Amino acid sequence: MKLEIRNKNREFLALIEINSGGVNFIDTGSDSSFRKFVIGALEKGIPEFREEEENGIIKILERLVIPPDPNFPLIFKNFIERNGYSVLDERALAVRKEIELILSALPDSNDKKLILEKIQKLFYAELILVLRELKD
Amino acid sequence: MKSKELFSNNQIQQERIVKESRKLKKVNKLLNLIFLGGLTFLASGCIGLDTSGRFNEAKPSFSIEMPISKEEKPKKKLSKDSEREKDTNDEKRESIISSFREKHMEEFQALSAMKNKEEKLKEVFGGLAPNEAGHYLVYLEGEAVDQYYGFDIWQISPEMTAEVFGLKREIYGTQEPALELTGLETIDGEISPEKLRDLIQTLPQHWVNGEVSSIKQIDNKGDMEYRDGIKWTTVGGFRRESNKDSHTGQIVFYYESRYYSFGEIMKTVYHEMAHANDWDDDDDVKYNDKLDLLIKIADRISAPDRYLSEYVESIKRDTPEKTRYTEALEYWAEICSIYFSNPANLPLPDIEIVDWWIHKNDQNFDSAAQLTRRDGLLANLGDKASIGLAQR
Repeated sequence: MKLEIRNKNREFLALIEINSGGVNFIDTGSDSSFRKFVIGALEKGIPEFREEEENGIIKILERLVIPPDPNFPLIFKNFIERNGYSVLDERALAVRKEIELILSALPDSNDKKLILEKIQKLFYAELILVLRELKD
Repeated sequence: MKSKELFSNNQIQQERIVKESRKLKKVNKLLNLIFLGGLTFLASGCIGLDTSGRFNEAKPSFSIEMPISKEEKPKKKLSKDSEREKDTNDEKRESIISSFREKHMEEFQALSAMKNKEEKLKEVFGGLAPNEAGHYLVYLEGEAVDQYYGFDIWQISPEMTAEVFGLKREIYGTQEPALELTGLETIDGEISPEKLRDLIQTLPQHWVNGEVSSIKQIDNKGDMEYRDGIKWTTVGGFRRESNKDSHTGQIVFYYESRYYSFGEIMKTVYHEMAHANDWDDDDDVKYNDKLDLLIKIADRISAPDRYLSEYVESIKRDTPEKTRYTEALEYWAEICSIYFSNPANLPLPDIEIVDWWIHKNDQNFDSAAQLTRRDGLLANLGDKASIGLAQR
């Protein structure tokens, strides 16, 4: 699973690949504090949550996951989301590619240049909105 | 002829270029709005959007068969005279029933429409799908028959009426106990009760008032158990009371929750609050709207662009219907918790659904402004050095 990580101000932090064995930083230009956060979290274990209903009470259960673990990719993705990071998964990256492809078929213009720049900072929902408009 | 064709082709090309250029300008305007207002724009654009598609609301049907059980049907041996009498009685019966139906036309229409939705949900969730309208319809049909026979068997209680046509709040009363809060210790520092109250005030007030009565962190340690060699710890719970005196929820965190970050603990609060505001538990939303919510969520749990939650994806119960129903409950709670913490991580249809549900009761709730306020509060919480529990 490939993820692009951004902060809430849309600044790029890292491009990572997660598999059951752990996390790989693809981009060497990744943000050092994010890298530190990931390394620290992996040392402690990543919390995974479940809920169970018992006698009308929902129990919140937790376990700490340290790779290798078959469910690690999504557990880790959810963990970084909970900690305030914005995540673009492969579906979001595919939408961005599709927008770029549609734009590449159009003649060059200032508007096209601006759109190409701006979409690099968009989140999943926003990318979908732009794609909808372009296909309309 | 050739120059005419050439002229025409040039014209078409010109028109295409103009059209494309307009489209690009429009998209650029959209992007400016996104960067200007972020999710404010998204959220305000979402209200009223419908996720039609798989579940189309069928037209109400009025061909309702009157179910009369054997016990209620008077048994008579019919002579010729009594056959004539029967014919007259049948006519009389039909006339009484049809005038009853006419009098209750709106109820029958609304119930039939809701029953159609229930039937669709039954295809996905089997016997776990809500069935209040279907149940009510049987009673209403029974009342029609009662009018003729002069029985008083099918009595519709005020609770039933409130459940289907009104609000649960009418059954459970309007008491809204003051929200009881303790401070919450986290690895990032302490959220004091006052700061927690400030945070809660950034949520839609119908989600809190009368739905959740306390959020507490206690010193008790949670139970531990091993399953397939894996240690699971109970770190908290959510108790929902359902009686005349109280119909609110209590969120409790055990000692172990002190090892969580602000983000993690608040996401859990939002998740549990979402359970208190789902199609099953929300006291402030009408039954018909609850069916719509469940239909939308049923659609989302299998959508290719659904929000990916490890918890939801790994749910397994002993029947496919139970699995799907639990997935629906937890998918709803998950997307709500992301909506309130970092909606940028949600697919657009999920933002639209949560936004639509919030604005059922909190019409003036400004999602983006409250998100900014919440982020600001979380950024300035606690003294990080005071806890020192980073390592378990």
